[in-house]
Amino acid sequence: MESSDKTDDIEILKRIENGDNDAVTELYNTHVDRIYSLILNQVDSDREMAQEILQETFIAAVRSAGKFRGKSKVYTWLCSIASRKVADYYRYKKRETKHRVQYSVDSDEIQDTSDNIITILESEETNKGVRKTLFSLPIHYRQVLLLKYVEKLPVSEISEIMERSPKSIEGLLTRARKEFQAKLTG
Amino acid sequence: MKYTGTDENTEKILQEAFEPATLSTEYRDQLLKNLIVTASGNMKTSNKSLWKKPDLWVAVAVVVVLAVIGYGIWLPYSVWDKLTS
Repeated sequence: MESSDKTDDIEILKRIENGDNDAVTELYNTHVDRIYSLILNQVDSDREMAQEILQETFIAAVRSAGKFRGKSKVYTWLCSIASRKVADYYRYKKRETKHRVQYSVDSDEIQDTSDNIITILESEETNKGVRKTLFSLPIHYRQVLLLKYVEKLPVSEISEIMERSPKSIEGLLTRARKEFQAKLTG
Repeated sequence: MKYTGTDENTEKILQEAFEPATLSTEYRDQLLKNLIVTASGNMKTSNKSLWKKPDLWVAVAVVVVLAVIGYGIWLPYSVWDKLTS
């Protein structure tokens, strides 16, 4: 991490700690979309729950702005707060093993049978299958796969977010990919 | 597309399945307002008068305890000096 980026991050959070509304707005506008996507992808596209966790994440960040020491980037720090909130959601709501996403395509709505539409539908069905498979994995497998392949974060940042060693993350990635492959192709 | 479990394959398949999401403008604005209210609450907490800060009272309590201990250590020597003089 560049030292100037680190200084900027610490500066913004110090200003937030001192009640600077412009700093809050800057932090929010910079990171809200990525954090929302990350959360939404982890909670099975449940928008209402994703918005609730998003609010909890940013409120927790604003309240603990003074505790940020600049050891990681602000984005990584926000991801770690969000990932903990998501893990809490699954732990205490107990929805993970019972939740099934129902996908269906209403054939009455399909008026056009051109090749483009068929290709789009096949592609969407594939994507739905991929999402359904990912959501059937344990939460820590899901988180590590999303952080690595959708958010494209390096292992070092994922290890900070998930509070595990880089070696542990490498092992987790291997196991997650194996289980994902087994479920997707099995 | 056949899934082979490689890094590149996994990235491609997940990137296609998970597109970036956007918040509604209404919710976005409302959340920002909530955050600014929260940040203002932080400011009020840090502006408490000096005597309302718990850290100060802890420091005062430590000083008082050390003073009492110090007095307790000094007192017997003082009494002994007077008895023997």
